[in-house]
Amino acid sequence: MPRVVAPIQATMEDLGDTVQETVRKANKVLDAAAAAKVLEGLGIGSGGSSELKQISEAFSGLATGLKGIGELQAAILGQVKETLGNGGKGSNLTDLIGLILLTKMLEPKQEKKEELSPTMERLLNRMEEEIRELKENRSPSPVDQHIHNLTTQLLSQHMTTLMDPFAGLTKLAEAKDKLKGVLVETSNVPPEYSEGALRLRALEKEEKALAVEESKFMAELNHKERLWSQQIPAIINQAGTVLANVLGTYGLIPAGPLQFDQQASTVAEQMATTMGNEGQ
Amino acid sequence: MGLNTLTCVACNIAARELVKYFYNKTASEVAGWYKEKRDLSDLLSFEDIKIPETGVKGSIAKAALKNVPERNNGSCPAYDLILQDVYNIAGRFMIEREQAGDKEGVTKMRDVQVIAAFLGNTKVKPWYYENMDKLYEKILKKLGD
Repeated sequence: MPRVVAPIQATMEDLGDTVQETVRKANKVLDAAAAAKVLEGLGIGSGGSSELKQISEAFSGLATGLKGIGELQAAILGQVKETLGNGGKGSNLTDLIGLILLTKMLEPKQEKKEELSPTMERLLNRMEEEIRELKENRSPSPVDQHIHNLTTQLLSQHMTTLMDPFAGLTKLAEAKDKLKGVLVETSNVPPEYSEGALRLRALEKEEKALAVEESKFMAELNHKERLWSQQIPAIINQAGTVLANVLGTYGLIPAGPLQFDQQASTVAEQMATTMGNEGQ
Repeated sequence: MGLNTLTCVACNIAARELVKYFYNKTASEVAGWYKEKRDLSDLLSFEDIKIPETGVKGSIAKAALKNVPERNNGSCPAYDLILQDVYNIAGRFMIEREQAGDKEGVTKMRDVQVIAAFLGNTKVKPWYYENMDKLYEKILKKLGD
């Protein structure tokens, strides 16, 4: 894009008379047609085209103007060269310096906003506004929108997982509960033939069988108990003898209760009672 | 709980010594000791009891006396056995004396039996046990243990 160059505003006091004349020439050199086009593009002149067209024409005019400035620069440089080539005849050092300064001034400068003409400034402001509006109103592309939605969704899922780590298990349990109802077999089996009823009947039969077994066993025990009760005293005596013999074999003699005759025990009891009472 | 053969032998020896000692005592006399709560171990003399102190016989004697004072639910089987032996030995001697026509001997042996029954009485037994424990300690000292 061609750079917009500010109008030349040199400090004329620093230049000599020759330079001032040269500047005047330069102003003449500026393409009048280009200036007209610039004005036209800015809407100052007569024009009925669209804004964009006007703007493009304005920039075209500016470019032409710059071209003119370039030609002027070339002319001035040529003059300087000629002056130096002539060995400075017919001119003085002040003129030479003026020419060089003019060349410098004509070099394209970075535009400063405050140096723009009010018309140009309005144009630029409008352009900036339009660009800003375009940027603001520009709707995002479908791809960007889709990526944005996916990212948001993933982030949401991730946050949910972080907040409730057992959410998955809870859902699984809920699903299981739901499936329980679904998977229950609905058959037309009558209640008396249902699995529970059949099992209950089997258990009842088993219980009856056990009761019969128990009664048989109890009868057998009662019979044995009667037999044992008749034989127990003899068995105990026999077992005692066997035990005493066994203990004797191993050098052990069972310690039994003291056995004194009745008379000696009675006398001893009387004496103990008497002495005990007297001792107290 | 049973007593081993060695302990039973020791109890038998002790019973014989007690029979000898009680032979010249009456039941009333012993009852008087009980009444006065006298120390039976002081009354008994062990000077004529020869206890082997060394060698195999000493080891046997120590082993025999090892479990004598042990209690079983409050009763002491060894001390009870001594009393039972005293009663039984006195009974045998009484028969001998009777056969020999020694009426005094029979009476004395009967008294020994009554003394055994007296010492084995529930009321007197604690005092008897207490004195037997003192006797046991004295015998152990004599063994040099």
